[in-house]
Amino acid sequence: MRNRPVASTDNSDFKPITNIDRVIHEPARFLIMAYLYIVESADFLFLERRTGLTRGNLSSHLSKLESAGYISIDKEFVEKIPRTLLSLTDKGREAFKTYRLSMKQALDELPE
Amino acid sequence: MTSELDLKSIEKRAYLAYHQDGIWDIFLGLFFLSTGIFMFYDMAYLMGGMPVVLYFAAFGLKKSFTQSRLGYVKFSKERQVKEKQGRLKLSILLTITMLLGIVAFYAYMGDADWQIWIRSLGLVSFGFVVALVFGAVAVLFEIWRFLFYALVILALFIAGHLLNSAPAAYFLSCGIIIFIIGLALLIRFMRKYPKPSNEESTGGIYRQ
Repeated sequence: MRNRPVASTDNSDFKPITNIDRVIHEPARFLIMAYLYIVESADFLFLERRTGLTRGNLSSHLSKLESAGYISIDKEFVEKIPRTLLSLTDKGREAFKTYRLSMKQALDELPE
Repeated sequence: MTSELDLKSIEKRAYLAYHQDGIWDIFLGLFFLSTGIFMFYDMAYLMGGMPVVLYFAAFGLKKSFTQSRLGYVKFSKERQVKEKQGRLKLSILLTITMLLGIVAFYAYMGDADWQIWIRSLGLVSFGFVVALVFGAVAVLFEIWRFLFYALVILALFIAGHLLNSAPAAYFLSCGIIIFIIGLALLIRFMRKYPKPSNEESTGGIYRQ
């Protein structure tokens, strides 16, 4: 069976959009990244309260962000209470900055 | 609105959520109420060390109660610096307030013109200084309801003075208003942020 020829496309006009980081582009992950971008570190409960995500959902998105190397997770004891502290890695911070710039550029370049 | 501004407003909302628990309001309301009651029984001197006790009690409660419901967050360096500067400015203002208190105390010790003038103001000058402190808290920490409290205090102290009410009444009425608002805030806060399970609060569900 012959493969159908694929029409060639010229999407150079939309380069900023095609370059968007899909890990961050997901709304829930964007929200998590945005919160961790504006603070130094936060625990699981803070993110759960602020983002409004369920525990399962939040855990799953955190795993994805951790796999991408965007967040770091540290366990520590604060006044004998175990606490999971989450923060953006340098790579994550940089990726979020790039994402914002790309989105801004893509939206700014769209015709009215 | 730019994305920069959006992020700032997200950060501000997260920060302000920690001041929507009504705990400070309840303790301040209790302070005014107890001062009024002690004044009524001519024992106002008993309130001397009360602000310190209330401060530590409120601070401890905020840490255990509010943080356990909202979660722990370490804000940005910028916010931490702003908070420290706010506390420093408030400490300076409180020191000035105490000095003004000493001046007011000496106003009752003699018959110089300035002493007679201060005495003629009654507790209005005290109300003005307290309102100034509340206004400063509102501006420095962006908790705008404290500006409302400042206006309420000023209005009640002026009205009380003009109507020749008993000084205890000014304190009691201020206390009731601030306490009720604090209680309403606390109830709203508890409904909005119920106590999480132990697993939830420690993030135990994640990466077990």
